[in-house]
Amino acid sequence: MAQDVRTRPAGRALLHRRTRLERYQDRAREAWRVLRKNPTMLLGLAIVIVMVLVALLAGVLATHDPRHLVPLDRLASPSLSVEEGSKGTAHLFGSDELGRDVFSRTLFGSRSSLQVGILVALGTILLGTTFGLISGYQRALDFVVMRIADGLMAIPSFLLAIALMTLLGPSLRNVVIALVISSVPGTTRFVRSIVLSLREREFVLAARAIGSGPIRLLVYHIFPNTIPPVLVLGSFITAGAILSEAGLSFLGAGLPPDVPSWGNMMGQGRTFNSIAPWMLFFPGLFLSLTVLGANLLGDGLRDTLDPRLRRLQ
Amino acid sequence: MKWSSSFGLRLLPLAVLASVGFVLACGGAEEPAAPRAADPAAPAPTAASMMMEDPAAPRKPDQPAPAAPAPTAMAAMAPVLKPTPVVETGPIIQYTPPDEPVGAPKQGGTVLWAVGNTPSVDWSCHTTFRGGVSQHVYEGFFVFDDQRVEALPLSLESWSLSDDSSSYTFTLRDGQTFHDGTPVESADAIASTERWFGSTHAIAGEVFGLIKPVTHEVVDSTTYTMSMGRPFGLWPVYQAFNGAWIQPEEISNTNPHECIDTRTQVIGSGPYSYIEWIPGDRVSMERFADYKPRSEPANGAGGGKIAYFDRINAVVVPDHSTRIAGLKTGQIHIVASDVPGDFKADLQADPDVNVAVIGPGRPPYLVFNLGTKPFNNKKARQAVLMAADMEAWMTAAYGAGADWTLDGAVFMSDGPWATQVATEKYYKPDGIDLDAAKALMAEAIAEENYDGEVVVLGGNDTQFGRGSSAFTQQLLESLGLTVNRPNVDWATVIGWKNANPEQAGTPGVSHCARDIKPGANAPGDGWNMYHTRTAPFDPLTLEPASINWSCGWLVNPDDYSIPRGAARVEAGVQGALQPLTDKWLAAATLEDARAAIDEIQEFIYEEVRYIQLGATLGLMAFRNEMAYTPTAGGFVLTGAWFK
Amino acid sequence: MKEYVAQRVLAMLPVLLIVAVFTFSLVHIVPGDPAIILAGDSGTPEAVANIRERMGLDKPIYQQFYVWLTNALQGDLGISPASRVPVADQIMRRLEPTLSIGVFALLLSILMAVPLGVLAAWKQNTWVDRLSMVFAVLAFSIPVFWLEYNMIYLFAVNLEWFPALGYKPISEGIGQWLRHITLPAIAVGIISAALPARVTRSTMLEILKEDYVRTARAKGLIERAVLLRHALKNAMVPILTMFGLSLAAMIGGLVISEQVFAIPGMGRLIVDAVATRDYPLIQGTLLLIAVSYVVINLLIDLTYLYFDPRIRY
Repeated sequence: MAQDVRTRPAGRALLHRRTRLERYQDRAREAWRVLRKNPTMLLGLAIVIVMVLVALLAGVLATHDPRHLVPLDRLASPSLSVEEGSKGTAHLFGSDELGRDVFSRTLFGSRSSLQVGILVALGTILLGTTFGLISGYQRALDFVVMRIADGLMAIPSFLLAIALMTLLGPSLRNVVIALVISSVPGTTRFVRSIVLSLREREFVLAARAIGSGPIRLLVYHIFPNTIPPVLVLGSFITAGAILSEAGLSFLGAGLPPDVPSWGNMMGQGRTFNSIAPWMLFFPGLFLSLTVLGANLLGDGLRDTLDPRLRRLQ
Repeated sequence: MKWSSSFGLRLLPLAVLASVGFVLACGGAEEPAAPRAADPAAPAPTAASMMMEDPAAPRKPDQPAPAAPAPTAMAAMAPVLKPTPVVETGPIIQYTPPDEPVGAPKQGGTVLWAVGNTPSVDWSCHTTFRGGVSQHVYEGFFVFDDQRVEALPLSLESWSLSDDSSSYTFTLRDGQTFHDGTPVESADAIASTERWFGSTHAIAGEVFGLIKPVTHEVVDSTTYTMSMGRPFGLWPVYQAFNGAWIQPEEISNTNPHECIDTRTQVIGSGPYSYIEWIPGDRVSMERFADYKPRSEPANGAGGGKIAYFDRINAVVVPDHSTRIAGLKTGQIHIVASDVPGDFKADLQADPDVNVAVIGPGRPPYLVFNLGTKPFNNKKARQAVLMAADMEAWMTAAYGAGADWTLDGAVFMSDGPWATQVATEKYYKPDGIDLDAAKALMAEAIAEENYDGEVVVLGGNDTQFGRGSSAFTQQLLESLGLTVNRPNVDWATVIGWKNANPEQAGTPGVSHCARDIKPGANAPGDGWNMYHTRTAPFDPLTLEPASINWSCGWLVNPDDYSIPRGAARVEAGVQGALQPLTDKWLAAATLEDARAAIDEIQEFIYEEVRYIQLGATLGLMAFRNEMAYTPTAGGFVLTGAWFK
Repeated sequence: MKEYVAQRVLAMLPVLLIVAVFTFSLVHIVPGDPAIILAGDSGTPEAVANIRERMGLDKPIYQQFYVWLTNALQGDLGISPASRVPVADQIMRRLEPTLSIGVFALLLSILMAVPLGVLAAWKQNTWVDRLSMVFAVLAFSIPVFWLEYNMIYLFAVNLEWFPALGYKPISEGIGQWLRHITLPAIAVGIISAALPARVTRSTMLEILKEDYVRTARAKGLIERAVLLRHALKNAMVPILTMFGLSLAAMIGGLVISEQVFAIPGMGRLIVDAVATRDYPLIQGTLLLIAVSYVVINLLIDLTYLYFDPRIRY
């Protein structure tokens, strides 16, 4: 890090007072430098950005209504051109068993997947950080919270999610609830371990010595330091939740079958895998790419934010 | 603090904001906001023209159906009811046997037969019991021949109908024993018949309702009589169609609505004895050494049933593609039905696999609930039929046309009762007039002062349920209706259409009229229509079997309770159809009967209480190492062996 | 040492209790009468009354839990409403396939993850390192069923090396048994090798920088001995912990794989149970899987005694 000192804002601030714009430019340059040093993170970030754009612009990019059935044009193989006599525009990724356009469905599928991924990550982090902070700082509550977490963690999370989906019934909201419940215990445990190590650190002890109350300690001193690792964890949770949603939908216990989601498309496409492999292939490709992007981004964030977090997988 | 953690600090609100913004921007994932194309039907060729062009379609609307053969089972019947109702004389088997000689039959081997879900081992407590395991473990009274025309006695040595057609005398074959070694006697046969009357099956209830009171009398250990409350000559046919299987008396006497104990009570007298059912995995059967086949040659599901395989394993393989992969790699010997039509070409190209199309399958129907707006109005129902592209609908429901045909005749076009009266409303030879249909629907909506969402039910756990109901949704939306299609499986659909909060738990009563709750998503919230596959049109009830269980035939608009089974026949709830039924029942000649059927079909297409989507066939596939001859009489593995 | 074992076993008990409470409450969370739910869709009034009496459903909830728990401890997990076969019987029949594939997959994942991780750490920043980490990230990002359908297509249908579906018990010949479990075991093995491979690499990297490794090299030990005897043995604790954790992912993978390959194991059992809403069966399988998961992780904890003799509590 020694050579970095030259470009550090603190170093330059000594020379002249910087404008707001310059400060932003500095920050952008910093971020770019971090990314350039870490090409895999750049790749991950690029994939994630592309997928988010795909999800946002699905309505513009799609060539067909993802739900429109044209039964007589079913199982059409992928093609770039409109064949003579065929109906409508070409199916880039082919059409499915009801004559719906796989390309458009795949694009719209990114919405369900990313929504599930992001909502689960947000929910898990919110609950997990809260419980983790409480548990790491309050000995009395720690025992209760940790025993419940241990109990829930003893049921493999995918099975727990399946069981919860049985109770809740298929819908986007319920998938998110089930996946949040099954991933909160691990996050709680993780945040708690960070809090436990932080509370013995000098700056916390110092803050306590000058009379900060427990709430103040938690909110102003401990919580900010849990953010980088939790952010890293968040990208892994997003990746895991997207995979789990696909698995649940594949088994028929996820999103309702009408919703164009990658898991649903693959679950329905598996029947036709030998005659219409594109039904399974393209959603699987997009799913794998998205998860890969989130994982690479998480890896990169981890390496960048805190090299000590290398153990966090 | 290192710069990297402050970098992280700044990232957090950014990340949270971005994520929230993203989720909001995408809106509900369940409603992608792309424009819907309004007209599903326009680009498709008309159904009728397709029919004419497609050489594979065996049924043509303008082709006269072959005359009915005289079924021997009917020979002795009085002129009370017309001959066999389940006559399917068309090309119901499409199968070219391989050229090479099969050699002499020999015993041995375990045949692996793939099924989609666990086959029912209890014929009384499940609705689809005919065929499958029962066909091997149990011996029935009557079964169909290889053309599915004639009812052949199976466990009966002989039978006769009295001169007034109201009493049967049955004699069981000598030397039959159950798998536990006890002999099959009259008392067992009687108890099994009575269990059938009490079972959950629509047909059993209808038949019992018609012929009760029924009294049985034991003549000797193998002979007994059955006296009925009215003349009835169709008993053998109904038994062959969906009848009773013989069980030991003490098992038959248990509650027919409660399943038998699958560990100890699966005892029949058929050619294979039951070993075990591992739910979700397999049902195993082994050859029953003491089974005495009939002396005549095998014929359909009957005749001399000779077991060559040592063991039959009905292996549960839920996934179609896995089943087909197994068939191709030789891990599965036979898939007896529901091979998706899409795979026909793929399988035919495999030299190790034989493919046969056998019929008839269970035709698909869309059934309206006549107790709810706007479909209490005839015009609304007519509009749906008017706008429907039947070929696209059938394709959505079944896939490529290898295992179905378009068929607008309510008695099925290849039967003796086929008539093409009014089927132009089905085939639409002049194309679909969507504007006229929309106008008609608008009229109905205005008359009923309707403003709400249409609840469409279809079991999402099958390709049929998903495809047909998705198409229906699109069809209704093209007519300007708002559609709610809840995500439910078939079991839930049944529960939903029968849900009756006022009489919760009362078997045999459906409740049809219920204001539909906005956003309906649970049984009890009301429904407008559902999709089903069921037995073809049945002359006894004059409707597909499952429709009399639902709300397709309301008589009294104030009383939406539909009595089922026996009570239904008694109440005469066929309503406006009743005079036509009576006319048909009274017909003395085929011509008279046909005239009555013309009127019936006209009535059905005028009222549109349900829509028959088409006719289905079954696609089966089996390995070359099996010497097996497909038959329409019902799937049975006796008479087949490994080459 | 005995004290340590006893302590670990005792610590397991509250976890198991929480699992039991959760599993028990499954049928009580669902709206509706538990007796009707347990009796299933085709349950008759007699069957419902029977269940109500047998499970003491008219008693207060803690007594119900006591009855349920004592029954479960005696191996009585209830009776499936549809087949009327006791849940314990059904589970016993399904154990063999799942255990076979699970153990085989675990073996394969160890054989893949450990050498890959060691190799990557040894050849840090070379193409070997990058390639193996690409493998790890990919394996972590691909849905297991997508991998499996492609494997079936390639190895079973086209090359005909392995059967496409089903299971042959070991009693019918080891060759057949192996052929049937190979494809699913490879797929599940790959998926669950990803995380351990990464942990192996990062732990090895840390250890290879330690003084004692430098000493070992300096005293002229051959590289293999340095890597395996000195470094790897000391890296085993975090690696084993990771295997314990990735067991949860593996169980999720097994559930899906049994569906794909039509293997009559525990996974199929639980998916079928979910589809038919067979609550006694769901409870029974969840309980059993959770208990074995806890026990396996306990066993892993105990192996630390061998790998890290410093552990004495």
